[in-house]
Amino acid sequence: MKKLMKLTISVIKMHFRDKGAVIWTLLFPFIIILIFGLLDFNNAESAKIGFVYNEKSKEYVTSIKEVLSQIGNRYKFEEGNLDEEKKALAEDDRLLVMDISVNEENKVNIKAYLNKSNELSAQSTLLIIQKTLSDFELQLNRIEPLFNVESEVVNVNELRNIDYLVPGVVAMSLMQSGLFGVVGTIVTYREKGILKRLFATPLPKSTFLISQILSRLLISILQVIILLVSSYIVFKINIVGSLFLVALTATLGSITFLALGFTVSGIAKTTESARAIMMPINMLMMFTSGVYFSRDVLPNWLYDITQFTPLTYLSDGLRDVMTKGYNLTDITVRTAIIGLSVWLVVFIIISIKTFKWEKNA
Amino acid sequence: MNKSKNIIQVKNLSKTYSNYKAVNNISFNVKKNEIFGILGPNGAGKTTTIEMIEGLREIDSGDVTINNIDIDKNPSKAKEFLGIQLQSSDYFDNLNLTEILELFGEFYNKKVDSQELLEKIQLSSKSKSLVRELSGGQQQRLSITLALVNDPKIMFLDEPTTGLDPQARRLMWNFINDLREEKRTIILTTHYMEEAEFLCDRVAIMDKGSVLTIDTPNNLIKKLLKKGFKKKVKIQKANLEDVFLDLTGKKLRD
Repeated sequence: MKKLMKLTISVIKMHFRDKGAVIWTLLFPFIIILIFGLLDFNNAESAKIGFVYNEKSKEYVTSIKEVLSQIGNRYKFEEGNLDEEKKALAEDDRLLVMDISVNEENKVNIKAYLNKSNELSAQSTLLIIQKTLSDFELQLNRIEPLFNVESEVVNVNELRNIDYLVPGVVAMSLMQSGLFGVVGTIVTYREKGILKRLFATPLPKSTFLISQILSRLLISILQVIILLVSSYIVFKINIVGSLFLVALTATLGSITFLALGFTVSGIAKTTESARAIMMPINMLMMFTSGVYFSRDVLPNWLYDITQFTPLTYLSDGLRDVMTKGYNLTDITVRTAIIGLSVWLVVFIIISIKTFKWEKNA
Repeated sequence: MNKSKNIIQVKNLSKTYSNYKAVNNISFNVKKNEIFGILGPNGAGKTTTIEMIEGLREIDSGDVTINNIDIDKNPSKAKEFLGIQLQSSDYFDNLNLTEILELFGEFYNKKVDSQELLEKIQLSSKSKSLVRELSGGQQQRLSITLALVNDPKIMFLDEPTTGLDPQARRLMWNFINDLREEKRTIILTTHYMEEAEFLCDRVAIMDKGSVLTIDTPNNLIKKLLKKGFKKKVKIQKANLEDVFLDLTGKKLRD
């Protein structure tokens, strides 16, 4: 027992002295959260409206802008002459171009140019503008509106990007520390003869294995805590669900990826071949398992396949618990737990069948 | 020969890798408190032989009894009193020498005085260094030190001086002699005949998986001379190594 403790502590010590490992397991995930958290994807979708006007029609433009601004910061306003604005529209840099002029008889002529690639959005924006103008007209003519429509904005559990992202990055970092940690240790130790030297002492192999699993698990738990706490401090992420269930899912995920690490260590003979197996697994899962963006954007066939990856189970499971407050009675959480468990069993079976202590056995 | 004096008995030991016999039916005994050398060219089967005796490699056929323990049946018990230095041995990357020694001591449930151990082999100034910061010679010396953490009765040294400069080799020889003075039994492999002559009480010469002969270095030389062997070069009173050591001194460099 003392051996196990001492060895476990040593492994943890070695991990934190290995700058590469610390960067991969702690700094990298946090940087990802920071970068993606600071980017404002809603802003990227902002709609530009070009106004063409003259002195006389300026007041209308001002009031249109005012109304549109009240809806949110979705709209950005540009102005210029008609040719410039139409060119920008042709280059897909405008949602809508409004040419507003007032003639000598004080009649207001409006011509709207709509972006075809985003016609629906352009149409609805135009409707808002038309409504604004007719309100204007009613006011001018002092006519009471016949219909009175009241609207109320209802709060929903809005998923911010950062709320979506954090569970995914936590899952990804659990995968990477399990996979890289175990493979890095086992394959390198085997290749360099360190395993052989260890077992020239009375150290039982089981003690070595348990210390590996235990230390990696402790490192992973620490990693999850650091990621969640720092995301909370920087972005005020909101964990709706039970922290216990988050911990349970994360632990199961971590053990599953440790088992994957042992599987790869069994199949790969050398550090090079281990890397060749590990990198595609890491990359493919990282981008198809809903870590950074929803799997909804994937083509159907890929969507169908990737629902079964261990990283999808883990990131979806964590996300459902953290952002939606789902618990074990919800089918999606149960699916995640069962999916991870199945993978865990599969990885353990392959590991037992392929694992080798010796370099050339 | 008094059988009880044999601390290691090897009987009809064999090991076959996929298509060749690495060790072919060899037998020998090692006496208590002797330095027993296993000599032979590369690929002779030296390392395979001692790794089977150490319990690190599965035995295909034959028996190894070490201090009255059948190594095949009870390797973990034997490992308690074996000190093993492997030919190529790397250690943990991010632990310093003191930490590695203490950790290894823990594997034997022993508290280790790492400073004393490192002093013995002139590495005390490196106690806080990492393995990768050591020179090749220093790493070899660390290997021997690690084999000593459990104060072993029996030590296996696999090519302990390969790659060392003459100064470091002399230090290692003296150190190995001291180990014999401490009543340990030592099994040593080497490519250097002068090393075997200097250190070994008896040697086994192996080639192609078989033991060709076993005797004291002196007897082997006598036997050869009896056959009428004559060295062509006149023996000089000194050799180039003596010149080298005379010029560069015997003090350890690193």
